[in-house]
Amino acid sequence: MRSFIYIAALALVGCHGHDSAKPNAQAKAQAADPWAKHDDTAVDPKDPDLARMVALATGAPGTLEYPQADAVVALDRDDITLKPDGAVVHHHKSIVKILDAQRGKEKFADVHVPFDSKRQTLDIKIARTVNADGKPHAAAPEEIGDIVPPRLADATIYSDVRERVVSFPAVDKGSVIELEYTRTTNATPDAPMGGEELLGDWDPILERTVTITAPSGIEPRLAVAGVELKPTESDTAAGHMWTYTLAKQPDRHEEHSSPVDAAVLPRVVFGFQDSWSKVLDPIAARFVKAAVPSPIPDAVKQQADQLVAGAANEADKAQRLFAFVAHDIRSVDLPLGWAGYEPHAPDVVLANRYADERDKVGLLLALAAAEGIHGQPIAVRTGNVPVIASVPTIAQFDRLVAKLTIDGNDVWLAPSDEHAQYAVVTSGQDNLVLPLVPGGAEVGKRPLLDPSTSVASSTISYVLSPNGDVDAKMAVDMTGYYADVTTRELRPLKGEMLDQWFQEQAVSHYPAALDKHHEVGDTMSVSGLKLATDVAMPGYSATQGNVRVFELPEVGIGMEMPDASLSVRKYPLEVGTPRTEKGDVTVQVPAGWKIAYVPPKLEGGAEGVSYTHTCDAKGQTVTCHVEVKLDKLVIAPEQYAAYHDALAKLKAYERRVILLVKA
Amino acid sequence: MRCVLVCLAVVAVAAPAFADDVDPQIRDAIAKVKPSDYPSANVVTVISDQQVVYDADGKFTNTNHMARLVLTPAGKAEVATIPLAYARDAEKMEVLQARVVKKDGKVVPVAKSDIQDTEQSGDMNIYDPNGRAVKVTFSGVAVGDVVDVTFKLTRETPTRAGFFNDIFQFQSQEPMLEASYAVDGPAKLPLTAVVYHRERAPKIDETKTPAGDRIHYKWQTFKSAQLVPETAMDESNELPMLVVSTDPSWEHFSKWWSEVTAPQIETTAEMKAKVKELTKDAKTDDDKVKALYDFVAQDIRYRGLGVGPRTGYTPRKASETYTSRWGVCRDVSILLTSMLREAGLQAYPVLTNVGDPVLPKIAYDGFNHAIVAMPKPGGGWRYLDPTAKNAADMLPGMEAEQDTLVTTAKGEPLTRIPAAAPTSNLGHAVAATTIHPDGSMSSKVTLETHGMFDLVVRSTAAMMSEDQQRELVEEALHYALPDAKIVSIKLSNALALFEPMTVTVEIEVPDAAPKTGDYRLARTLVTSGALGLVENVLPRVFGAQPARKYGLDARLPFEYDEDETISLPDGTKLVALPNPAKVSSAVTQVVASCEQKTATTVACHRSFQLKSRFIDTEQYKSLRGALASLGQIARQPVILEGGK
Repeated sequence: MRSFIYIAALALVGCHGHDSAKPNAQAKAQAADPWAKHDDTAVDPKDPDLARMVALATGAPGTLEYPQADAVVALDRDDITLKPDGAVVHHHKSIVKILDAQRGKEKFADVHVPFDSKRQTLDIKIARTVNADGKPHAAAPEEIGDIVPPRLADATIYSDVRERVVSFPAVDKGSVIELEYTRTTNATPDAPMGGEELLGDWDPILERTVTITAPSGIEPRLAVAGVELKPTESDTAAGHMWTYTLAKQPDRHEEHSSPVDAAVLPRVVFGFQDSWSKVLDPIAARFVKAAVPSPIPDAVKQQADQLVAGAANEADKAQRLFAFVAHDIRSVDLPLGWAGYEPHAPDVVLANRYADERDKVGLLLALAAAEGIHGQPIAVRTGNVPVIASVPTIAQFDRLVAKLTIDGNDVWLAPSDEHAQYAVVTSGQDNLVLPLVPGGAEVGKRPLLDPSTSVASSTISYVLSPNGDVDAKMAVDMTGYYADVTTRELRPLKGEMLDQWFQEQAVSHYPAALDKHHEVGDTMSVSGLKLATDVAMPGYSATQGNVRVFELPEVGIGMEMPDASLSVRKYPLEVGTPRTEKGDVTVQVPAGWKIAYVPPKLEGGAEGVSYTHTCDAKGQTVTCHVEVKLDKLVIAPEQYAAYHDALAKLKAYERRVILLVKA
Repeated sequence: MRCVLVCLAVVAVAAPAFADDVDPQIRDAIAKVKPSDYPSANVVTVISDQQVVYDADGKFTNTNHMARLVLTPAGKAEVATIPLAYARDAEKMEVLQARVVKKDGKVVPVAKSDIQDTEQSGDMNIYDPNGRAVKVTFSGVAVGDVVDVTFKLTRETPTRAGFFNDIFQFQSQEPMLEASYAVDGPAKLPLTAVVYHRERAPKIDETKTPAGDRIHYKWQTFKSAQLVPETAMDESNELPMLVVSTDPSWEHFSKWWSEVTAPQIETTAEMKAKVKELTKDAKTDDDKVKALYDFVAQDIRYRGLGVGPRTGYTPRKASETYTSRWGVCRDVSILLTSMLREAGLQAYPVLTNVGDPVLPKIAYDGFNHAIVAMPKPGGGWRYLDPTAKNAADMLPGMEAEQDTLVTTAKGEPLTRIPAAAPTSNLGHAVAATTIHPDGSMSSKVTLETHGMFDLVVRSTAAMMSEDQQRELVEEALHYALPDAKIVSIKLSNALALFEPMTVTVEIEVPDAAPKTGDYRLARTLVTSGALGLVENVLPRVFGAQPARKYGLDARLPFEYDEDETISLPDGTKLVALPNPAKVSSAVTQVVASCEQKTATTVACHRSFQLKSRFIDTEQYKSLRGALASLGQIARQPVILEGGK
């Protein structure tokens, strides 16, 4: 009702605005101009939010208090209520003052509110803008509409998730916008019965409140991460309420290569079930029954038999089954839960040849079961966001992988990654995971992968001609993460497209480079990838007087070390999966030139990185060996300075050059 | 004899048994096409046929038959779904047939549940409630299969009542075995047609057949080669392309849009007051233009909505855009036009195309952008793009040399915006550097910008906090100087649109001249390539391939200069400097030099000029050579005595 009134008010303003011929038109125009300041602003006592917005629009805080902020969030409140019938009502209200004309509008003027059109209802109650004149400008009906989120553009076949886009009118620097909506999740077996809310944001927040309300007899599980904060408790008509409030949060700025917001900013995690077994009850049995029916459908059994025919052992069987699901079933990218938790039957998935990760894991388990291999679906959390064991809710997990038991060992597989390598699952490391096992009752710890699971090993031979030209031959052997990333790029490329890619790689090392020849191993392999290139680099090491400088290119092909370009960090650096880069380099120097300098031996490292770098000169040949190991997913800010310094030493110019002088 | 019979029986069993209604071309392709026939392709287009029927009122139907053969595993993903966009308030989209023809001949129809009518994704911050897409998902697709779809678009509300136009490509990024475009239209509204780059396609069969009061036109080609795209190529200008139109002239098109926009150009009382307020201190017309442009460019955010039948040409009323403070290009062009006129200046909305130039020979719907033009006193036009919110020149450099259609009541011809001089898009870095006796370095560099350099730096700065600006500069420096430390950084106010945009940075590098045997190798800001936009970026963007089949469109000419004065410690003996380079051609110029000026002073200069936006395949070789020469000297440090 309130929205209707504001829309009517806006229409009225518009009508007056066209009356330009009357006297005193300028005064009326100022009255209609949302940025004109007025002394006669009347405040409706029934609308205290409006009074607050007017005060913000006409006064502090502003850029004086927050010179770098895009906006100041005066109020950010989320009230989450579990209803007795199991429905979860999420009421959101925010009031934001735009401080920066470009960044502020970019971030806040068009707000996207996600909702699942099948399982949820979303009601935008208030969307309005107030400027210096104190008059509210409500978003018109045509300024509120639904879209398919771009990331789901190819997944509408699976998901009913949409975004309601609210475009605020009359927004500019200094505008204050208010958004209020209610999103109700119906009680179904697919409702996650929990979730998490960030308690902070990158812009300053004056008042951040999250409340969790549960009906009598239900005590939600609650935990806060990233800040010390206890809730206050009170009783309301809807039940008992736990309230978390953080006031006067500072302006913050994101840094490149940080983990996701949930891993960096404070958050509250909540669940309405009191044990992991209650979480698993409505999900695990349904999953297994649907994905691995008994008996296994004939089509699935026949496919499995065909795939494993001639396999040498159980591991070989598993590898073939995994490769089939990863490659032959097209992946529809969808976070876990966005299409519910119950998979389609494996024979349907097999026939469709497309699937989200829930269905791909299900099919892999069914194929494995058809060959007598036991497996489990495992829910994992990506983005280095720690799962909190004390809060049982499936909402803490966003991806699903499979774990097969092969010869008594656990083999982790990610079939939804079409480029994944066998037994290398990078998500959910060093974190708690949730096996979707009927009757299961707990989360388990998944350890960090060893750096030896992902290795890029290069052998590079440079031959320097007397005229400064260089012929470079490089062979790279990749496993794990490196093979995954490179396969992703190369698998779609053939013929001239592949030629272009190798030429671009050559030029990225040296602008005049020419790719003379290249070879690519099997990009459909799940056990590594080999590449070989032969590159001409004319004029690479020119003579400067009696001296030549030969610059050693970075090891690897198109791969770079984790971003350590900032001197200091306030937030952690995401390094990625543990891995190893190795390089063996030989440089053949032409007759008539003496090797005057090679980089001295360097061994070093810091928390998260260790390396050795050696070079030797013998006759006209320089040989170098470099090996770098990364063994942490994330580098904490307090450890970052040492990490940065260690990598800066490794990348220092004097480590990358060989000096030659005329003999 | 028995063997022969057995063999025949085997062949009979192995040959695919196709359903009767499978197109013979599809059967033939499944039987004969091998991946090795098309070494660069994952998918082959077997059939690309369009059948169009238009009427005198401009309404039309387009029935499109596409059949695509999957050659590789990667090809499966390319054909797996097809989104068929349409505008609900003006068009109807029907999927007449969708199926997978398996390589064994079996036909698997797409289930109804796999054909969805969905919202669109809000690209470019445009949320059109009438923008829909019918998404067809093909299930069970394997290598060797053909996806076969026929869909019909019915245009119920014409873009321009009484007119029809269209374009059709005879080449695509997939090899095409057969492509045809057939049109049936009324004789009283005949088509004009132009085929651009006919010579780049296989033979194009062309027929025109009168049939009563209708005329049937058809263009058809077979075995069109795969386009392997090259970076910075103008596809629409390089490919064999058919343009058909019933429009008599560009002037006519101009006049039509003038009629569409005229009612939307208006000034309300509040707008009049705003114009007065904005221009109250203006001493000249140019001051007024700047003030009004600044307001529209900075205060109106880019956000779109379908208005009326989704023509893409109907702007909102100026007052609506003014009040809501949002609009897309056509909306803001109308608002700026209205405000300029209110200020007593002549201004007109303009259609143009960001990206490829418009195909010029006949008038058609070849535009994707709207800007504003003001007549120059001596003739010609001054152009303003109010969607480019950080363009101090009011028209981004990359919009020069674009075709434009100024829309006036009398109608205007298609006109090309004149080329800009390279120096109008200038970046100039000036550094003063001191190498200290301990090998450390301190340096102060100022980057001055003009034209596109100004726009890029200003836009980047505007979208970052000061902390983030500092991070960006540090990251860029560490690319070449990993241990560099920023002492100070100062950027001019990016939002002060008509003030020069400059960046001044002071740095210290602890070991800029490390000892390497008997020498020290000094890498300063210029000689290390730390400021080397050209050396670091352009080779990959423009110069990666040794040769090109198609011309390169660099979007704009520009010049980037670096100057550095290096002070050395007293008594330092200079062993060698980076080698000089001088390359000049019709399209580029490189000058690089380092000279010892005094016993302790070295001056280094590097300059790269791209003289032309459009570079043909022959000229490309000289561009690549110029970039290569800069790449070579970027690996040459200043060599000093004093190592060990």
